[in-house]
Amino acid sequence: MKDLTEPTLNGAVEPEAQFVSGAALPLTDDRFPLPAPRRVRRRLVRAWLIGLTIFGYGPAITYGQLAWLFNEHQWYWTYLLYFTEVPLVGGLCVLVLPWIWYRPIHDALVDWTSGVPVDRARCAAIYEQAIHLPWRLAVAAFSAGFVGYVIGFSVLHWQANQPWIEIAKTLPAIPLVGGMMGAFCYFATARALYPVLAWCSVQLRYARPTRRVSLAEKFLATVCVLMIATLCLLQPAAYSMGQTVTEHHLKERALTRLQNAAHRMQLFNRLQDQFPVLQQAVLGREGYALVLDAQGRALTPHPRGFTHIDQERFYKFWERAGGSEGSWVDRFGRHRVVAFIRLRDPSRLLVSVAFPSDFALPLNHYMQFAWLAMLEVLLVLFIFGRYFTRSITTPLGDLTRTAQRIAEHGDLTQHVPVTTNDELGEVALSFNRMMQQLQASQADLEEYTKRLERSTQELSMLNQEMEDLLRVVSHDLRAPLINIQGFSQRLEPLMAQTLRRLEELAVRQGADEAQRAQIEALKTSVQARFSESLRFIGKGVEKMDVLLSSLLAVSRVGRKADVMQPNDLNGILDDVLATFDHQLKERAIDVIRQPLPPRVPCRRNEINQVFSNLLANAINYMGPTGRRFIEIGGTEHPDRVECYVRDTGIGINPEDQERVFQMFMRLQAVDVPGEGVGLAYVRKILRSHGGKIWVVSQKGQGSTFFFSLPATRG
Amino acid sequence: MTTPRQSIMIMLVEDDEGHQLLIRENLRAGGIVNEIIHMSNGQEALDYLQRRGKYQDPAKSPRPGLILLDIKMPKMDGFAVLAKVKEDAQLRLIPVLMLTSTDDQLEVNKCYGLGANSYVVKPVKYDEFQERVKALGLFLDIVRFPE
Repeated sequence: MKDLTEPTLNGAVEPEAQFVSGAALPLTDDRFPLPAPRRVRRRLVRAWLIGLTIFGYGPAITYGQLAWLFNEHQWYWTYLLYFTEVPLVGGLCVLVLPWIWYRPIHDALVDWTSGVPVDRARCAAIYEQAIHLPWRLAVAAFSAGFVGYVIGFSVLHWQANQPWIEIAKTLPAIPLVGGMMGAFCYFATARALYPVLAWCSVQLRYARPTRRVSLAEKFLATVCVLMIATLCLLQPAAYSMGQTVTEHHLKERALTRLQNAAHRMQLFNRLQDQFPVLQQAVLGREGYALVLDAQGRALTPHPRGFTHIDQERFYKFWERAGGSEGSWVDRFGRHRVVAFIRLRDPSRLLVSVAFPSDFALPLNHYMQFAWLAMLEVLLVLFIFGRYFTRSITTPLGDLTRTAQRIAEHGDLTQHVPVTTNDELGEVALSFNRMMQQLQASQADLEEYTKRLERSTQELSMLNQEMEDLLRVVSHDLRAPLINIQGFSQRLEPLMAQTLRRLEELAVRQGADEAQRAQIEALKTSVQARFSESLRFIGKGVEKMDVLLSSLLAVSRVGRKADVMQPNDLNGILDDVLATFDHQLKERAIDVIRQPLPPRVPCRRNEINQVFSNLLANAINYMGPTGRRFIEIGGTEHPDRVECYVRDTGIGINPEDQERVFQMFMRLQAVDVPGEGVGLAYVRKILRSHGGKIWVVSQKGQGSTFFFSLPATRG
Repeated sequence: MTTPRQSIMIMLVEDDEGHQLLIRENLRAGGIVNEIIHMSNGQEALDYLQRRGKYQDPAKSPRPGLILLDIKMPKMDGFAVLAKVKEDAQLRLIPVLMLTSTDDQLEVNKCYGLGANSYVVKPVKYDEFQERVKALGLFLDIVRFPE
């Protein structure tokens, strides 16, 4: 018994074997129920009987009819006899052998139907047997046909004294009967066993037959059988037709008969004993044989009992021919063919006379035969064509239905039964394997999806935390600032009031000049230090506020609330330049404007911020001497737009160029206002748009900030 | 001094004592002489408005004519209070003015979406703060409120 895990013909180890090893058998699939054993048996027996009848007796009837058509009555019985013999002998083998081979399958079906637990190993064994049974049966049927033929003709030869040469002419009967019987058995058995195979395949899941037969081989075999069968059916017609038309053939046949007759006549000495032999030497309906003496006179009576012979003409012919063979036309105008053979006694001559007209059949006789042959060929074609087509369409139908089920219900556990050992079986196997892979992939996918969901959840939690943090920053960190600022502002008048009260108190208590001067000095000093402290507190709070605002602004870039719309960058730049107008004039900085792309999808206020920050930087870091200008321009590319802001400022060292975009990074410790957020903010905005920013600069030679934005499609 | 606008009461809902003090002072400086009651969180404000708990007596807890509402508060935040007030058929007529420390556009939109009547940002710079609250006071001074 084949273990399913062992390497198959293709050398691949079946990984699927373990797939359902844990599953309890029997598995159920409503499309492929356990077939009833009696039903399978009935179908098999019926198939075999039909095969024997059609393909055993069919040719017998054909040949018999042919013999009848050509008035060869002795052959009529011969054909019937030997074509009966072939299926009888063959049938015995064919009915006994399959039963021996089919027995285990039947027993297993009976067991499983009656509730015996389904054993995996047994199921696999039954599967193997069922898939190979049709081919074994076909070979058996062919062999049986051959054996039947040999036995039949041996009997015939022995009983009817048929010459071997005549028997040899019937050799095509072997492929005709054996081949067709075998082919029919193959297809019919495969068809009958289909439900068994399907059920076993479902139980075993990814089962595959160990031996593979190509579909092309099956097709070729079928075509060969059909071709030979057709030829065999047509062959007697062609043979007989050729025989009748030529005189030469007729003479040859007559000579063969005469030789046979002479041979037998030698066995008898007396003329009277030789007569019965002549009786058998007839040729055609009216042909006969005679024994003549040297003068051409008939020594024997006419074998058919006719007394009337055209003696006069015959002797004339005899004299003219000089005792050699030939043909003549009698007085009724009938054409005759004569053949001679000399007997052992030289004075005696064995003569056969045949009438070609006996063999010249009317045309409709041939047509009758042709119709018959055509009908038989059509019948054979129909039967085999039907079986052959079904052997292809049934597995394909299974495949289609399974695919439909999967498409409709998305049930990846579906699988196709592997019921043939040809390419279609391979397709089903590959399909099953694909489904298994899909199942595995789906499981993986589900796992990944779960992980992704978890990650997304975590991410959204983090996001939520971030949002909360932002709110805390915007509310809670600013709220104390308001208090610090508010109440420290209240301190100053309070202090002034206190000092005034102190002064009044001193005056009221009569302080002298020196004491008053002391108090005055104290007042001035306290007031100065106090307002200085308050100024620092105020500046600190303001700076803190600006930092918080910048932080918030950077964090809020690209929130879902803002949508991108196509904007004219020139318009945005107009707005920005308007706000810088005063500063630019004050510092005597020229602005050179090149045209900017007119339609760029962006968030207007954010891009406004980009220009504004870049311009502010350019103004703030403008070099002290030389030509002072800022150039702004842009170019359009198919997939993006690129803008630049060039200045003649102090420039940036190459090693610092990446750092300028970092948060709270300030390269200059000089008195340039700012918190080091501007460029980080700009970069964040551009990234949220899907663009980027970079700088090209040399220390002391100005900088050019480039930024790109994705362009509108279409 | 018996004009209707002086008779209305202003409710200030603010958890930060300092802010509350600063707002009150600057409203007075802006010319507002109305009674201002102070609630230190959203829950308390809502209890007062819906007359629950210690505010059950209608005589002791008259309806305010205006609510100044902070957003970030313990127990119940300004959004929740605003939503509750605007859900209530009787309270929804009281104008609500959000007075808060953030200028986040999302929060502003949310407040207007919930039915706030106005939104004022408390600036950190004190002079600006003073100006805003004073301006608010002037505004309240000239607006007629529903009785």
